Amino acid sequence: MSKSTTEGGARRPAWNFDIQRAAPYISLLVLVVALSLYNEHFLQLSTFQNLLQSQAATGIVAIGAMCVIITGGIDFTTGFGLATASVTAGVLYVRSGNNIAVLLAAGVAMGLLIGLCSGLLITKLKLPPFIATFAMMSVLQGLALLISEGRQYLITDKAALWVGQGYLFGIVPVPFVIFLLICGAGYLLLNRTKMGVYIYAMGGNEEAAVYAGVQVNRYKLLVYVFAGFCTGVASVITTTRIALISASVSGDILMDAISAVVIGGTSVSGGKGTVSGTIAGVLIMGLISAALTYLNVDTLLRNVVKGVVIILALLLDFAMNKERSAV
Amino acid sequence: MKKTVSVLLACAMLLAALTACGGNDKSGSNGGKDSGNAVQNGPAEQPDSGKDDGDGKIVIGAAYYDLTNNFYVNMMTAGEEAAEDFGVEVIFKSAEGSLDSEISIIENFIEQGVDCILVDPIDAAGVVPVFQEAYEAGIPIVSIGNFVDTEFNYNVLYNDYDDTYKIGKYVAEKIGGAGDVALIYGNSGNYVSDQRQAGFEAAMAEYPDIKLISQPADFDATKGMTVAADLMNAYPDLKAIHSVSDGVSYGILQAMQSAGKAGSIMLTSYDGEQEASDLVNSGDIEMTLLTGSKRVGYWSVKIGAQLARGEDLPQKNYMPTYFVMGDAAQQMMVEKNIVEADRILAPAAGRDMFDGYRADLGPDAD
Repeated sequence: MSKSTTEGGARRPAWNFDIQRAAPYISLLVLVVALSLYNEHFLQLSTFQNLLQSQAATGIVAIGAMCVIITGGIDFTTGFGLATASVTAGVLYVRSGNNIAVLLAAGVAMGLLIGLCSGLLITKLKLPPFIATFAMMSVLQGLALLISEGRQYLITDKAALWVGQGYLFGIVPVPFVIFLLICGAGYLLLNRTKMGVYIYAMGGNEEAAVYAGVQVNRYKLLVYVFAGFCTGVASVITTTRIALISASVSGDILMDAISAVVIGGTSVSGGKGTVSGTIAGVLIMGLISAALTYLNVDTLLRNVVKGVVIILALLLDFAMNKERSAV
Repeated sequence: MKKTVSVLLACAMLLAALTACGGNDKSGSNGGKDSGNAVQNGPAEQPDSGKDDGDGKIVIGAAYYDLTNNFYVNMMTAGEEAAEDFGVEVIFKSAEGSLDSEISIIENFIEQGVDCILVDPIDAAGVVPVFQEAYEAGIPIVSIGNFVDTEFNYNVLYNDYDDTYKIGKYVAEKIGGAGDVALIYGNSGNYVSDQRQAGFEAAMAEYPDIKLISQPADFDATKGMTVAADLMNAYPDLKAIHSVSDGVSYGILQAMQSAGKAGSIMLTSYDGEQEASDLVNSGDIEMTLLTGSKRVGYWSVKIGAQLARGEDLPQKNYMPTYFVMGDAAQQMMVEKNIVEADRILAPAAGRDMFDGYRADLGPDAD
């Protein structure tokens, strides 16, 4: 199919089928069909409820990460940032006598603060995003342990747990609803605002954007703040889902979120990516994890499979980029 | 100007964290005992080092697996309390999961001429040459948690394999020797996780009618919850879940409760954290085993101090561990001859024991 691009010369035919865009949806369909054929217990409501509940936090982080990657940047702070936001919120929650408003506000505020710090390091000190957020990641890893002091708390408050474990209308997991809201915000931001146009423009060609009079730094800062906000929201969801405040909750969320973004068709060189693709990418990552449990596959192979999927997505990205520049 | 603002902001974040740490100290001390600020007593700022009675203070070098993990942070906190109780100074270093840096940390300790070295070996075979170096330099060297079998070294051990095996026996007996059982372990290649996995699998292997499904959760509650939810879907007749770490069990319990299976699936756990003892008390968790990160940290430094003072100790030093469970479970454990009654604690006692390591293992206990 992709051959048609080169055959069509400089003009792309209207019916052109963008394989990079379609790949995530096709993979998603293949995974669901294969799993339902393999395990009779797969096709049931609770499987999908579990999937949507467990992937919501990853998905929220992925939406923020996608915006950053579209600008041509990268944000490594999400994993330990999530842990830091979660223990900060947790410690304050316990000290405030289990006030749920404190838990929610502190988690999101800490996320915003982390995003602001990364953004300032990148825009004001002109540090490359890779270095700046990598250094921040190390700072946050230490902070999470300093703040929690190795202790952990269980959350038993029903209202707090509703955020992470509840169901809307008895069916739809609340974390997933929050994920959809963030997706909606991300979609509006990218497609209906001036800032969205600039985000794509910065990733496509930052110099050109500067010459066009875009205040690149201001929007870049806002993108990292948005990513931080997403981390904060994800931390609240994670904490209330597992009902546990602990410094070791970050898990693989950084890796999973960035993988989901890439699998979802966002170009790592920037300038290209969609919310719907990222949603598909998130569900694919979740389904791969679930599949490995349903098939009772060992850990070591688990990481290999995830890695291979990411490499395939990257190969597709590079192949498409090469083709595009050849046109 | 703007640069200054951003630098200030970064500093402010750091400060905020440091204050949070300092402020927490009060609640961090244990049971109202005398030490309130063990955490702040960094090895770099020991004011009285070198000026103790006669030939200077005893210094112990500790090369730990990875100080960026809750378990090791607790080990270090309690280790600093032990240092105070036994009158030694401990220098803690993190190998950050790398055998390479662990070896160079140990070599540094040898050059510094410390009085004893504690090592949490990343690889039991990989550390043997550097253990020999220490031995030749006349420094007693202790392996923590991971058995290193040479004539050069001592070992501080807690018997994860046997203890998990016993939990496995109990689980099998309790469910009548048949059905689906899930084991949620840490990750393959991690010594602690491997021991706990092997012990449980050995017990299950004695019951041909039990089908065991083993899945990893990387010691992460978030993953534990997801894995447990998927397992309960894939194996609807699951009778019991054993988790190799309390930290993960909290997530598993949430998954069981959301699936409405908290009453029908038996959950057993390991580590003996206070929260877990509380959940044993409420009946959410059937039992847990108290090793206790703080107990391990305290006990290791105690052994180190004894060796540094020239005391004679055996090659293997087992730290006492306890099974924490309710009355009914205790009765069955003893009746079936799986565990002796003196190694079983009721939930309330288990909770006290977690922080009671000073009384249980301290200088006054001997």
